[in-house]
Amino acid sequence: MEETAITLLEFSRRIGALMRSPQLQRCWIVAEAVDVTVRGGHCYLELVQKNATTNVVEAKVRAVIWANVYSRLRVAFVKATGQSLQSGMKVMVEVSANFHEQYGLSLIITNINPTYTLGDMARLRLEIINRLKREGIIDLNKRLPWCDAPQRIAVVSADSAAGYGDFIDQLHRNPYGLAFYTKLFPAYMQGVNTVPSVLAALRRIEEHQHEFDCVVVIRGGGATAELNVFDNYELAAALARFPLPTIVGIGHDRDYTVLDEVASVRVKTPTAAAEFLIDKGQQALARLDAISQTIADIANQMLVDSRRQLDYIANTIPLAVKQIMAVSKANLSNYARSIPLCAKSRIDTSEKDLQLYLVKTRQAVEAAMNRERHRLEVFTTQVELLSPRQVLRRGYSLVMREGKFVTNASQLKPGDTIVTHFASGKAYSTINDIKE
Amino acid sequence: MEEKDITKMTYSEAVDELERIVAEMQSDRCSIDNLSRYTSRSLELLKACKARLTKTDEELKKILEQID
Repeated sequence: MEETAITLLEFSRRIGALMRSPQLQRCWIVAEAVDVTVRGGHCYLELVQKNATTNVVEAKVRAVIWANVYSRLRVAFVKATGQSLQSGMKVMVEVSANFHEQYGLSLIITNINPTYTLGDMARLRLEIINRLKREGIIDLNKRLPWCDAPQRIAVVSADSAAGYGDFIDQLHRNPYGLAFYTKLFPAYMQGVNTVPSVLAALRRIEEHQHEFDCVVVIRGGGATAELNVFDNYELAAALARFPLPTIVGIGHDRDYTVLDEVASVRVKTPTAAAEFLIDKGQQALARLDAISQTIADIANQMLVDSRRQLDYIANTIPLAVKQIMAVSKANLSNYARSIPLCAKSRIDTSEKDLQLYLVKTRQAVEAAMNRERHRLEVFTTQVELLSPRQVLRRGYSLVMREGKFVTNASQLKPGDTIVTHFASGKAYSTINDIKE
Repeated sequence: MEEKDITKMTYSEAVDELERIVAEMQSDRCSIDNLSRYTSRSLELLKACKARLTKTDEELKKILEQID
């Protein structure tokens, strides 16, 4: 039997025609939006539905909002929700099925109900974050201090991932010549094994925690829808409690997981994780340079200051000597001037004393002379009173014989001539008789 | 200040000592007599710190390789 065949294109056109059935046009559906990207004004995304218990994706269809619609919807959506449409949001959208002969099935979104915003992923994430906050562990890893230059790095990644290669390349080809030591702890970074394998890797690193400065969890891109595995409480709690600071770089710009909430550092890409580490090392080098410069500056300044001090002293010494000389000279002149003055004053004083003594001596001599003169006068008066002439005047007379005073009659004999002296004149007599 | 053997110091300890030296040099206590001691010590520390950042330590590499 000969089969009648139609072309693939024809068949595809038939599918396309079926898609235009009213049942598949302008239907409101709920789904989660992931991998949201805007290119050329058009918004491309995937609509997914996951099992509420297992979180495994059960339905996934590509969707697009054409630019003319998107520009209008975006404004309304941002106005209502405070944020633009992004991965992880649960959305209620009006869709029409479309089958393109080359690109296959996609849903054309013509409207969004912005009140139906937070989807399962976002709500789950919020719940995890709230739980981590309630338990007081959400900031634990963020509070860990970073060492000055993290060089020993434990890497959690899939060993074949392009992101890991980028990270290693970036790190080891850093322009500052910084040395880094990396150790890969391989783990699945997508699929159902992600959580247990990352937890196992973290446990192994913790066993060797003293050999490392930090942990880097990286994943090189991939579909955003697969990122939801990281929105896991156990993983987030393990990372939050990890004793070393962690860097998480598991997606791109638009991707966001709870791990980003707990990690010490959140970066967009593995390359950015490497850049963060290089920057730390570069800062450490810069700090060393700054210290080196400061020390050189201080040392130079001290040398300059000391030299200046020496110069000052060198300049001061002659001045000081000159000053001392001048002072000494002035003192000497003072002495020289004051010696004659002192001497004169001493001589003057002595002269005055001498004069005084002379006067006093003269006065004393005069007084003595006067005394003696007076005494002499008294004596003279007394002598005169007692003189023979005065006695004779009083009626006494003086008898002499042969020039000698006769005081006793016995000295005489009759016949002797005697001379009797009177106060005025004398008389000669001859002794006639003697009576004793 | 007691001088520790630099090879036995961690990077942080070495940087801390450098900061202490700078503080000491900036204080009034530092005289020109200590200058050469401070500068030579700080040069040694700086050299060691820079080496720690930029020279690959083969021993450390081996230790990490042995972790399985």
